[in-house]
Amino acid sequence: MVDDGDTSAFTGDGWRDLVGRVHAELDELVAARDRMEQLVRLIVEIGSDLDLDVTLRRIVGAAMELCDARYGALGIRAADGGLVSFVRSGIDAETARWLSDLPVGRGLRVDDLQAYPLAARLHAQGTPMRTLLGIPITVRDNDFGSLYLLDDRPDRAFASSQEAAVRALATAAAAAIDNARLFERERESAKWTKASREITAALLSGDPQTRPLQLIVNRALELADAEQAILLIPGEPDLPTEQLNTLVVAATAGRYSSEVIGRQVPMEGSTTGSVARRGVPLITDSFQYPIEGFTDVGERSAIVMPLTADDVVLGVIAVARRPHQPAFDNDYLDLVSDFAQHAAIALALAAGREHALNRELAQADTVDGALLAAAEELRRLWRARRVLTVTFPATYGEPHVVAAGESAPWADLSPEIRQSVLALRDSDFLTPHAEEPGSAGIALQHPNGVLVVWIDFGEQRLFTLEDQTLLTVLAGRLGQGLQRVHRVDQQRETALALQHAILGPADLPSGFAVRYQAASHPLQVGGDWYDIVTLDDGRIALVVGDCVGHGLAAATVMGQIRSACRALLFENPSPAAALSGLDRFAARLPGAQCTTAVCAVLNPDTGELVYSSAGHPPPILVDPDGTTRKLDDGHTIALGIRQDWPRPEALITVPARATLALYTDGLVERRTSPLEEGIDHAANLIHDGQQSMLNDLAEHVMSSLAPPGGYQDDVVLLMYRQPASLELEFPADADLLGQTRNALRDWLTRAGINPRQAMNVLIATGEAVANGIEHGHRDSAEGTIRLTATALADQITVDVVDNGSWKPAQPAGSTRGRGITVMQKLMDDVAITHDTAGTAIHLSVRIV
Amino acid sequence: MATSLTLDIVSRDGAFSLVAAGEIDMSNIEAFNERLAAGIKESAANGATLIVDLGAVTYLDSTAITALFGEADGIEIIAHPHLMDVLTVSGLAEMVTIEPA
Repeated sequence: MVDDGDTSAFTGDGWRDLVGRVHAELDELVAARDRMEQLVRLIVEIGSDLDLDVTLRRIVGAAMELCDARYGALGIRAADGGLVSFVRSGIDAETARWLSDLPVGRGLRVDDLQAYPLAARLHAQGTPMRTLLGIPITVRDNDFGSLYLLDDRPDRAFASSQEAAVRALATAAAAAIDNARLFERERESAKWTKASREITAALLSGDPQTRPLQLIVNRALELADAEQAILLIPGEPDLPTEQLNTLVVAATAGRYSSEVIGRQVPMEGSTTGSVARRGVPLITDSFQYPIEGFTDVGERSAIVMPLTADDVVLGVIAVARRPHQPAFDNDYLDLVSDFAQHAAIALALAAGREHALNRELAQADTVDGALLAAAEELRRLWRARRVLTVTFPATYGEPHVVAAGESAPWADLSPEIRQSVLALRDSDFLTPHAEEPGSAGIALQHPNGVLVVWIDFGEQRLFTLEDQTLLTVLAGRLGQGLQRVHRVDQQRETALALQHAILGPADLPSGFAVRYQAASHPLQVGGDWYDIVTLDDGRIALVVGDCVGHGLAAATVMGQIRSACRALLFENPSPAAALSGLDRFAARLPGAQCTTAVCAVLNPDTGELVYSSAGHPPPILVDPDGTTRKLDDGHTIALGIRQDWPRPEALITVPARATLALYTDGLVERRTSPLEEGIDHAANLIHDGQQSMLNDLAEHVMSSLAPPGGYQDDVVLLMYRQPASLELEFPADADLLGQTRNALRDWLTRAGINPRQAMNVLIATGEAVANGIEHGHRDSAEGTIRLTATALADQITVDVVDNGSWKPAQPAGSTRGRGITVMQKLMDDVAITHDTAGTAIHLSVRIV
Repeated sequence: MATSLTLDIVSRDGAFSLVAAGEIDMSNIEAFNERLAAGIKESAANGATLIVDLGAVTYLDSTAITALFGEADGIEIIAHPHLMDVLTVSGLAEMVTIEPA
């Protein structure tokens, strides 16, 4: 514009000067106007995108354009002053690092970098940079970072006007960055919310394949753009938070996963522990307690977040970035906390599974029961095809299998499975193994040896780290549960042995039926007892008694009284004398006073019964004609109350085919009704059941009188029917027929059968026995025949069973054919059944 | 040891009796058959009917009844009342005169 060679009316150079200045000012004005236009355009441009990264790049580009600079950069700082991101154009990394450390204050303009002391480090690199402009980006005193412009052209320096323009741009840039950041945060937050929903959906689906813990750490890793994410759960899930001692790494994602899984961290003195205890999240780069595979991989920024549900801390998530990644800022805490809420629900659910197992284990009262419950729970949990638990006894014996799904004894398992299980047996306890796809297993301590749990998924599926942790935790619970059940088992075995030793004979003489039920579960012995003992003179003593209380304490008293009573009866077979002896005994035995008992001595041939009662409910006697009696004579006070108290005795005859019942008050006593009513109820049941076999009747009485929910007190029911069934077993030999017949004849007399009908029963039975001898045992000398005759109130039944082969009925006229005809005509009912084991003939006839 | 049974052939006033006492079953039926046949033979030789006296028999089974059926035409029976049922249901009473003892 300025023409140096031009001359004018004004004095030469002066004019030129003036014109030149005016021109220059005009140029400045034009340039300023242009810059303003440029600035406005650039500001509009940089604000036109909501993506933070794009916005930052545009700001750098715009600033370079404004100043005609060859290089530009933009550093963004977090609230704590740390650098979050650094956008650069044409600048090497070394220069960028120098810039990021350079304080720009309210603005920094260096015309000659070569002479700038702070640039010494830069010169050492041999940088060509000559001039620098650094402008802070601030909005409402918030320092967002700095904008840098550089140039390496000789004699190039940034002008004040350029600085002013860049300042203006920086102000606009701050607003654009703010907007973009807000948007970014919204978008980030949306991602976390989406992940949270994903976790919720996975939880609701209940699909074991989703493995919520693993999903939580996977998403945390991904969303936080982290290197590693771990999830810790309490090592003692049953304890309240304040009593916890350890946290266990239960799920991991990212690097070092396999190193860190299962690691334990103390609550005391660890960062994760204090987050769990205080329930407040934090961002840190220094953990107070090292977690192998997590804290020892270098200093890096990490978020530690408690997982809280209903104010209970269920676990902790720790998410760590790579060492050179920007640190987490506080905004992240908000993002992660909602996510952590969902994670907490996932943990609560996992804990629920454990509780389900614990509940099953608590209900089991045998070791096998516990194993079955656990196997079924694990099968349900993993939707497995089958779960085997194999116990290897410590000493000797075959491995014992309890299975959910298809069960089989050890010997019938496939060789592959047996091999896998044996390998597990020899592995470390509580260390899951899933080497073969489709199955997993773990070994643990069993009270009697080693237990292996083996899961067959029935499909190829990945057994994740979380699965492994869950299996470890559940196996640990199972081990504890087994120890507990084992102790109960031992107690019960002891109690059962005690019961068998002191309760009463397990093998009863013929004609008796007994039911015993103890109120205290699982102990099967209480204060009630019975005894049936054959005396030296062939008579049978019957005792039913009831010591005060129930459970083990009452049982120990009962055992002593029962033994004493037995001894007294052997000494003197008189019920009154025996009870008098017990009076003296009970007076000296703590807990034995007020024991009630009824003692009777029965002559099984005649039905004569001598009895005496010490404060006990009366025996019930039901005659075959239906007459029902309560045997309430010979009754006085309970045992051990008075010494030398006279004890009466009563004598009756139990008629043929009558039913006698001795019992304890547990059978008939109900809070809601008088004792008499209960006794009448029992008597009616016996009356109505006279046509039943004695064992069936005893069962019927017990079940009919049981209150809803079962007996709450110990119960004894002892029943006898006169005469006892006749039970004979003899070789299939015709020479023994007479002897057998004599025994049956005597029995029929005792059963009150008239001689003519007795003869018919004898003949029909003789035919049945002869059949057994003649046909069943023609070819074999070793055969035996079993004969059973039973009297019901109005009926006689005879069963003849042989173990030979049957010959079909012969035509009438032949010897055996006539025999069968005779049987059929003399009896009301004849049933012949035969199979390879032998022949059974059942005869019955109504008594006339 | 076979079941105890005594068998005597008694002739009195031209009448022949087989007097049995005890029990008859398959263990001693052969003896009974033999004595029955002998009694029949002896009484037939004298043109008389054999009286089988079972008044002291306390048991008999179908083998004995079968034996008696075999000689039904040549015998009359005296029996203990307790045996009447079996002798009746077997049909023997329809073919042989049976008197209670």
